[in-house]
Amino acid sequence: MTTTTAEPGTVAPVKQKNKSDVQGSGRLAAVLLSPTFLVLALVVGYPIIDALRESMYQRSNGLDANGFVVKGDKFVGLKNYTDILTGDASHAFWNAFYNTTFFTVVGVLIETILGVAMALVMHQAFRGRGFVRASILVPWAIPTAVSALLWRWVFQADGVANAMIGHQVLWTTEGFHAKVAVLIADTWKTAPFVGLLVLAGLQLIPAEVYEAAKVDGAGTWYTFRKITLPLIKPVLLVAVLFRLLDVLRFFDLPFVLIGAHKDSVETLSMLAYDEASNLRYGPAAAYATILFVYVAVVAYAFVKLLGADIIGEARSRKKTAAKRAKKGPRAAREATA
Amino acid sequence: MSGRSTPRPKDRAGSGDGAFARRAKVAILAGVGYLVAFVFIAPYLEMALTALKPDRELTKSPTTLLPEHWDFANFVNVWKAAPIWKNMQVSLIVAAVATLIALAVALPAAYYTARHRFRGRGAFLLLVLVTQMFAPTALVIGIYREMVALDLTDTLFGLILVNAAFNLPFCVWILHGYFSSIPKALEEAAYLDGAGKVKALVRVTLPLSLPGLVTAVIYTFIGAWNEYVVALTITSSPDRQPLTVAVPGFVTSYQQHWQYLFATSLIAIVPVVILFVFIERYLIGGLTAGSVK
Repeated sequence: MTTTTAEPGTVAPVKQKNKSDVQGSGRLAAVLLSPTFLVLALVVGYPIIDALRESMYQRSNGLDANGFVVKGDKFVGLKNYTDILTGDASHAFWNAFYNTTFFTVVGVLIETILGVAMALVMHQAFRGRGFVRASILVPWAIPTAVSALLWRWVFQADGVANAMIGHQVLWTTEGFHAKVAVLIADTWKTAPFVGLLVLAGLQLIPAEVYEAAKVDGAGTWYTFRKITLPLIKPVLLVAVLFRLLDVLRFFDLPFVLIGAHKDSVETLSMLAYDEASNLRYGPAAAYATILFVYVAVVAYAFVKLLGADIIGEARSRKKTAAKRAKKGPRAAREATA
Repeated sequence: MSGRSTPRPKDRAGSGDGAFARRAKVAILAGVGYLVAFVFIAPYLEMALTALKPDRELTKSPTTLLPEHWDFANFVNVWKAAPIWKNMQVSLIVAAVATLIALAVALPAAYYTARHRFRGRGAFLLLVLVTQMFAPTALVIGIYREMVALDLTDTLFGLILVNAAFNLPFCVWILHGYFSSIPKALEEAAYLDGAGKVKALVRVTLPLSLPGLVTAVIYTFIGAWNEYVVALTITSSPDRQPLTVAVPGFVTSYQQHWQYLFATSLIAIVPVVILFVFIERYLIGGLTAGSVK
């Protein structure tokens, strides 16, 4: 265990060791990082490049006289993009853009709050905790396509949802209620994901920290805000980031629950799929690329605003926090020894 | 916490009240827990009840909560209605092998980026993240072409590869986060005790990051278990499709066998519940056992 006091004699050798580390490990880095690189390049990298290339082309002619597909792709530059943003399709695009943003902001907010709350409950010791944990987490394990069908069944005209609220709402028709149906189904399915991650983060907090806070007379809310939240922040940020990325690419749930071509719930991902399934690969790829740019901007903003330290600097800060946390009990043990 | 801490005679002023308040707090928390669990489980109950209804009761209006005639045969007949057993095998194999591959590939990368600072480290992590930003609906065209070129359409290996890659970024990031939060000093202490780098990793770091590992396993397994769009595109024979593609086939515009759909869905939950029950204690165990002290 290195001491926190900056003593010149102890710092120097550590520094040297780090330097030689960097020099000697270039090959090691390559060996350890390249599998990740390779797999991602193969399965994700190539299709991305393919999509980017495709987005510059348009199918010039569909079928020939005999009804066979004629392969004739025409280079059109950025026309696919300008068509989407300003052309006839722009209404559909901006509507989908709004829906995607709405689902992202509202959905992730609800899921995060609920997920953290669920994790806090799951973390407590009480009888039947294992059962509660399992039952909360299992919705996450149901394939989205299936859970969307389950919710379609629940939300149908004479389904359970209407029976419970006591009057008829046509949930799967156009209107704000369709958004609500999608949000309920999505929260049911994904809040457990946030809960699971936060729960794992809670396990990392040593019990002594809470006991110390208790001794100091800190209240529940204060403890949560000043101890729990900062310590689970790294895990929570990763969870929220991945939820953001996921919901921005929202597809199967609204697609199966409500259906295609519904203005109330159509997302950018659904537009891309719709174009692709009509064999208009060019516009489909253009939608996908715009969506990618949107996702990238959101992710970048998120990382910059909330956790510039997600990647690296968190370590040093967390280390000191951990050290601080450990000091108490250690000192106590040393005192008794 | 409250359950574990030993009762102390003088916690605060008015110690009797304190003990009572603590017990009340646990009771309230448990109540909230049960309530939340019920809300989350209720849709399953509806699913289970519908799975037990005979065909004619499905379209009845108004619906009844309980089946009038309990049709347990649905759970038997469903095995004949579609090659469910095969689909389940495909789903299981794909999810399990994809999880293994994703972990094996992510572990070294996550460990190295967490322990070493080198040029391009941030760029590498960002690049990994960027691959998560493209919608699968957009990648599907390229993936399909690739699978045709590699002759991997309609194969388990194709599905395994895609699912491993889709969940890899999350594994790298979550493991990176966990490794970073474990003080390097613990490993250094192991070196002093004569352990090599690998031994220090296996004996010290991995056990400490068990909750993170378990999270990565659950995430990847479930991610692969749930994958839909790509499986729909690159598989075609009914007995080589995973459950996600096979199950929605029960409810189409041509046929509406909701009872089979729900029966299969319930059957399909079983492996995941088994995995979860098996792995949950590691998720909980890990650090609360007090290994980080």
